[in-house]
Amino acid sequence: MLDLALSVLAEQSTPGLMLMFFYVVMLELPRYGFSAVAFAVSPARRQQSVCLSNFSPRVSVIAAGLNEGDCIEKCVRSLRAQSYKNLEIVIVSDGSRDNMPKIARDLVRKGLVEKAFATDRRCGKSSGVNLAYRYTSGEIIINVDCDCSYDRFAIERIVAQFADDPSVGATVGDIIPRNGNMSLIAAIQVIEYLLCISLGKRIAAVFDQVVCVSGAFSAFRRAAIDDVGFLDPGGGEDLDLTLRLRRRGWRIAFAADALCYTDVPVTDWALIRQRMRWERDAVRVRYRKHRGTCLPSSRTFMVAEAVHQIDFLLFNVLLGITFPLYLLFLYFEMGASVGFMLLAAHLGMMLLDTVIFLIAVLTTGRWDFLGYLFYVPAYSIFNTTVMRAVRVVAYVQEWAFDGSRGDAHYVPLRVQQARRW
Amino acid sequence: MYSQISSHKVPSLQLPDGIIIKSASDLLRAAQLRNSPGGHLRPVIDLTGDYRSECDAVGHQALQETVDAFAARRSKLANWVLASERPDVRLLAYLYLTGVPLTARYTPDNKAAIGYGRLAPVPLPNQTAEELVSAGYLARRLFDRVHYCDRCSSARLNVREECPSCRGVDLRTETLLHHFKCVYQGPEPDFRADDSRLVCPKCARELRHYGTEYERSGTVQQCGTCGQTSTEPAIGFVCMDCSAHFDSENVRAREYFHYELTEAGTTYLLQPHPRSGDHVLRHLYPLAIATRIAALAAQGGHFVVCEISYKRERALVHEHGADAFERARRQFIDELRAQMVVDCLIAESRDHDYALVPAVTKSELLPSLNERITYVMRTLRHDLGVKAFALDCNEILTCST
Repeated sequence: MLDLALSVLAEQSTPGLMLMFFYVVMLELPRYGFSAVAFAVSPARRQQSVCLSNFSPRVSVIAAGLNEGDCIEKCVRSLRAQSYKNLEIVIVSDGSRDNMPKIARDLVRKGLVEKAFATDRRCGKSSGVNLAYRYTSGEIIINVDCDCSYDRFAIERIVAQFADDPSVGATVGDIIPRNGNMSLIAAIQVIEYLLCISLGKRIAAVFDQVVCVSGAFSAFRRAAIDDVGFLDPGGGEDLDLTLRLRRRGWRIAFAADALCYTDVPVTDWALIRQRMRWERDAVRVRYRKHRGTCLPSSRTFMVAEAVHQIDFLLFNVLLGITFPLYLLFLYFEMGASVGFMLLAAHLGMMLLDTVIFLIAVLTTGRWDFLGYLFYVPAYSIFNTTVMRAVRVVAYVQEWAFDGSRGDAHYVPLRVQQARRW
Repeated sequence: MYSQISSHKVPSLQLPDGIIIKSASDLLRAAQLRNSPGGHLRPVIDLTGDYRSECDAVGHQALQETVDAFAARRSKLANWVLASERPDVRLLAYLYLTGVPLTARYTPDNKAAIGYGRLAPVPLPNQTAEELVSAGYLARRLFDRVHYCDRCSSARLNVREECPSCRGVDLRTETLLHHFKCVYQGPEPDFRADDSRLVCPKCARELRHYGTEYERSGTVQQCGTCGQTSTEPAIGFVCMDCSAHFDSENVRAREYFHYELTEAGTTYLLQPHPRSGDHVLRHLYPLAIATRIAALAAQGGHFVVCEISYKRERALVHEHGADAFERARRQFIDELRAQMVVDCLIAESRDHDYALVPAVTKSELLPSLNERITYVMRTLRHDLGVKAFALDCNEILTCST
C-alpha cells in the first residue's frame, strides 16, 4: 500500500503535485517550513537573556486556582527556589472544596507565601487573579498556574525582558510538558508545544507577532495592566488580555529561556475537551470582541493586528472548514485512488513535520527531545485529522451556537451568561 | 472543725477518724491536715454543703457511714502503707480508702484551671498518678486538654483572633464583591461611591442587581494596625497572668485525666511488707522502672537501665514549637521500642525517658544501643540531641541500699 502511494506520487507531474498538495505547498510550507529554516540560521535564535544586575524590581506572583490542594505547595516551593528573590507570592483559592485554603494558610504561616485568600464561591480564574492583583505591590506581576513548576532561573529571565524596553507590557515564558512519557497523546503534545510555543513564539517574537501570553506563565508590567484593566470574563482571557495590550501599543515579548513545566492531558478525550474550549474561546475573542482590529472600516483597525487575525482566520478557520471540501474535490478528481493519494499526502506532511521538529530541537538546544522523533508521524496524523476535525466542530459550535457561553467547566455559568462578548 | 468522732483509731498513728468542715474558714485548715502525715487516711466530711465536689462525704447523715467505711478498709492495710509518706503510696492508699476515682475538675480560680481539689492527698496528684499509671497501678480516663503558658504555667490564656502578620487584634472583616460583567473582585469599599451606590472600580458600571450583576464571594480580614489583608485571622494566646504571647503553633497543651485504682494497684497495696530498695529506687526512676528493678533484683538477674535525655529540646521548641518536639520525642521512643528486645521496658518521665533491658551487661548493651539510637535518629526529621546514660544492676542496687 505504501509502495502504491509512493508510485502515485511518482506518477504525478509537477503541476499535478502542486494541485494535490496545494495546502502544503501554498500554505503550510511558507508559513512554517521557510520561517523555521530562516529562524534556525538567523542571529535572533542565539540571543541571550538580558543581564539583570541593575534591574531587580519587586515581583508579585499570582497563583489562583480551584481545588489545587494537591499541587499548590509544590508550585510555591518551586517559586521560592527561584534565583530571583525580590518576589511576593499571592494565592487565591477560588471557592475550592478541597484542602487548598488550609494549605495556602499553612504556607503563609511558614512564610513561603505573603498573602492567601479563599473565596466562598467559585468565581472563575479571571476573578481570582483580579482579586489577587488588588493586593499585590510588585512592579511586575507574574501569573502562574498552580499545577506548574518552574526552572530555577525562570522568573529572573522573564523579568529581564522588561529591563531595557519600557514599551514591553507583557512577556510569556516557554511552556514544556513534563509528563510526555505518560501516553501517546501526551508525547504528541510535547511535539506540539515544541513546535508551536518553543519554536513558534520565537519566530513570532522576531516579527512582533506574539499574540497570546499563556496563563500558565506570563509576566506583566503594572503600568500596562493598569492601562487596560486586568482580566476580563470568559475563557481565553490570556489571549484577550494580550490583544488588549497590543491594541494599546504595548509590546509583547517571549522569554525563550524562562521555562515553565506543566502537565498536559494524557487521554484523547481530555485533550479534545481542552482543545474544543481553547478553539471556541479563540474564535470568540478574536472575531467577536476584537473583530474591529482586522476590519479596515473599524476605528480600532491596526495592520499588525490584522496580520495575525487574518493568519488565524486563513490557516485555522478556513483551512479547517474547507478541508472536507478539499477531500471531496480530490475524490472527484482522482476517484478510487484518493486513499493512496491521501496516504501519499500524509507521508509528505510527516516529512515536513520531521524537518521542522529537527529545526526546533536545533533551535532550542533540547537534544533530549530527539527521543520524541519517533512520535512525529503520530503527531502529524493526529494533528491533520483529529485536531483539524476538533477545530471545525469548535468553530461551528461557537459561530452558530455561541457554545462558549454554556461552558461552565472553566468559568461559572453565571459569569459566562453575564459577560458582554 | 477537727474532731475525733468515733473510737476507730489508726494503729500506731493515733489519729482522729475524720475531718469535718463546718464553715468556709475550715477548708484551708482541712487541706493542711489532709497533707499532713496520715492525713490521707481519714475522710473529710463537708457539713456546709458548699464543698460537695472536694470532700469525701457531705452532710450529717453520711458522716458515720463514711468514717466506718474508711475504718473498715484501713484495717486491711499493712502498717508500712499506713506509715508511708511516699506520694505514690499515699495516693494509692487514699484511693483504696475512698473507693472512688481521683476526679479532675475545672478550677477557674487557680492558675492551672483544672485540678483535683484542695483536699487532694498529695501536692501534685496528677504527676504521681501518671507514674502509677505507667506501673499499672492506676488506670486513667481523659477529662480535658488545656493550653498553658510556657513561661509561668498558667492556663488562664486569652484566646483571640490576630493579624497573621503583626499579631495585632485590630481586625476588620470586609466583604468581597464579585462583578460578573468584568470579573473585578475586591473588598466592598472599592465599590462604594460617595452617594452609597455600588460602582465597579474597573469598568465604572453601577451594580444594582444582586445575584445577576454581582455577588458576595467571601470575606477578607483587614488589619487596622499594619494594613495587611488575609482571608482568615491567626489564632493567638496571651497569658493573663504574665502577658506572654504564643501563637497556635507554639502554645503547649496539658492533658488531665481521672484516675482509678487497678487490680494490680490493690494487690501492691495489700502486700504485708514493702520490697527492699523500693524507697530509693522511686527517687531515681519512674515507678514502672523501679518496680521492675525490684522484681529483677529479687530474682538475681542482670539488667541495665538507660536514662535517655534530649539535649536539643530547648532549641527544637524554640525553632518548631513544643508540639513538634513532643511528636519527635514520641516517634523516637516508638522507633526505639521497635528496635529493642521484646521484654525491654521503656518508661517516660517529664524530663527523661528510661529503658530497662534485662539479661544483659552494660558492656554488652552499649555498642548496640548506641548503634540503634543513631539508626533511629537518622529516620527522624528533627535532631533531638539524644544522649543515653546507662547503669547496670550492680551500680543501681549499690545506690539504692
